[in-house]
Amino acid sequence: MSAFLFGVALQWKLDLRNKGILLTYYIVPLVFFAFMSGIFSSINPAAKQTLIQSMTIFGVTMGAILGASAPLVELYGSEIKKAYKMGGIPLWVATVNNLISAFIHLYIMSLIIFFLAPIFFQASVPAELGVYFVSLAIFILASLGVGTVLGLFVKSASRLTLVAQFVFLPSIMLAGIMFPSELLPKAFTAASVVFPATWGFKQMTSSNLDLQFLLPLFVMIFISGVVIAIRLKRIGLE
Amino acid sequence: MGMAIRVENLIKSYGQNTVIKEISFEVAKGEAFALLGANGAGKTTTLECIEGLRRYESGKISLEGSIGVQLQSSSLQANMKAIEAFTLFSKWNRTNVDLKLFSSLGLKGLKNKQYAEMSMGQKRRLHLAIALIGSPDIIFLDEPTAGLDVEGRVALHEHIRRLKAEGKTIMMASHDMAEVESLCDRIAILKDGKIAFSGGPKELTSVMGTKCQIYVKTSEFLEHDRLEQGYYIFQSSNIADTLYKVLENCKKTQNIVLDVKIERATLEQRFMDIAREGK
Repeated sequence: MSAFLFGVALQWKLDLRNKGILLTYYIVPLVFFAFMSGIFSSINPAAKQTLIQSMTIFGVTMGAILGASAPLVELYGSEIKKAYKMGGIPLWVATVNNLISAFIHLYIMSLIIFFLAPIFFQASVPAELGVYFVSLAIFILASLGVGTVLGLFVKSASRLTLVAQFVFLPSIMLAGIMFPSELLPKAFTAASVVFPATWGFKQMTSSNLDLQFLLPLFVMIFISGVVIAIRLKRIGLE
Repeated sequence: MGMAIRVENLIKSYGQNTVIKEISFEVAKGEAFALLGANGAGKTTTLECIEGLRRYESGKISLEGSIGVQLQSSSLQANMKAIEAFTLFSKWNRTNVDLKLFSSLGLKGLKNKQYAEMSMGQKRRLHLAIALIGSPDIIFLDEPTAGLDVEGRVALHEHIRRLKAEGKTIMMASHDMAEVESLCDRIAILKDGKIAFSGGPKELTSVMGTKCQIYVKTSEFLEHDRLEQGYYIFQSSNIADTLYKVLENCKKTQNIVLDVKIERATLEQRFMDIAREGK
């Protein structure tokens, strides 16, 4: 247990030292929050009702899809995995450490938005705080599941940048955080159901834990978990 | 003395290409053993099969004792500090963080240096320190000094000698003859996936012991085996006989002998001979 906790704490520190990770976990989401919150709330004052949720969805999606996948490519796409294997560290450890570390970073980033949005942009605070924070945790996990799958399947950093954008951009455009999803063409609305951001936004703007929004997130977490386990087993056998 | 490593009829293929063709060898406890071979001969593949990093088609590998591995091409996360890596691996091996071991490899002053900022020699020392966590009985070293400067090589050689003196079994892959000659008790030369020679370094050169190179520089042309920097070179397993014939020929043809040198085959030359054989 001590080794595992040391590994999690170490991954947390490595993430803080990694400029690319800092950009995707904190800097870009918070800069986007600062600029877009001002724009959103001045164009449409009603946007203040869901400002915290929409900015959080953007930040978490960016961090999980573009950020959390990168250390995995560095680790599993290189000879580092051999060093881990020969050094007695199970291959799944790096994935779980990365997931826990990313979860904490993204939760902190979300808390920053949660506390600053009402002060600077008069954003509405979610009515049910317990529901909001539980929903946030589930959404972060689902997003990290997708990011982890990307990190384990894509073998080079340059390819990951491309592939991750193909997941990140539609997630943001179709989730309903930029404009109401009812305005989207039906095909786009149908396509949006595969992204955690769509269900995360609906759940985080809901005042109760709604199974119709939570179920897709749980399914995504489950599928990601199975795919990750199979992939790690295959990497171990390669 | 018991055996630490026993490899029997090992076969390893990559697709249709069989790279290791039914090789067998043993390494005794406390012995330093080297696998030699040109690039692509199968040294690293053999080591990785023994270490458990690669699956193989058939054969049997037995290890007696715990193992530590310094890989040729492994690396760590770029922004991980030396002491963090050492602590992480120590904790996963359920051993105390042995700062004495860390310092003995000259890493004390580098403990807060990040992996990406370390030189090749520093990285190799860190990987050796990680391989030695928990004081393993058998240590695998894959090209341990490749890419190191002279100072780094000497320091690493000293440490490997210390490990040998402590009774550790050492198995290394290398293509550095001088390194192997000074560190190892026995060697096996891999060629095209097979063992072309197995024995002690002295045994290897003594096979060639009688086979020397005679360098003769004369004023006129001389029938020869090879020409190198103005010297006519004769390969011989009987120095007196060959030299007598060459000198008598020179005397008959009134060819003036300007210089004569005799060189015993080095391990490197013997290795090259074995590598060339059959080509």
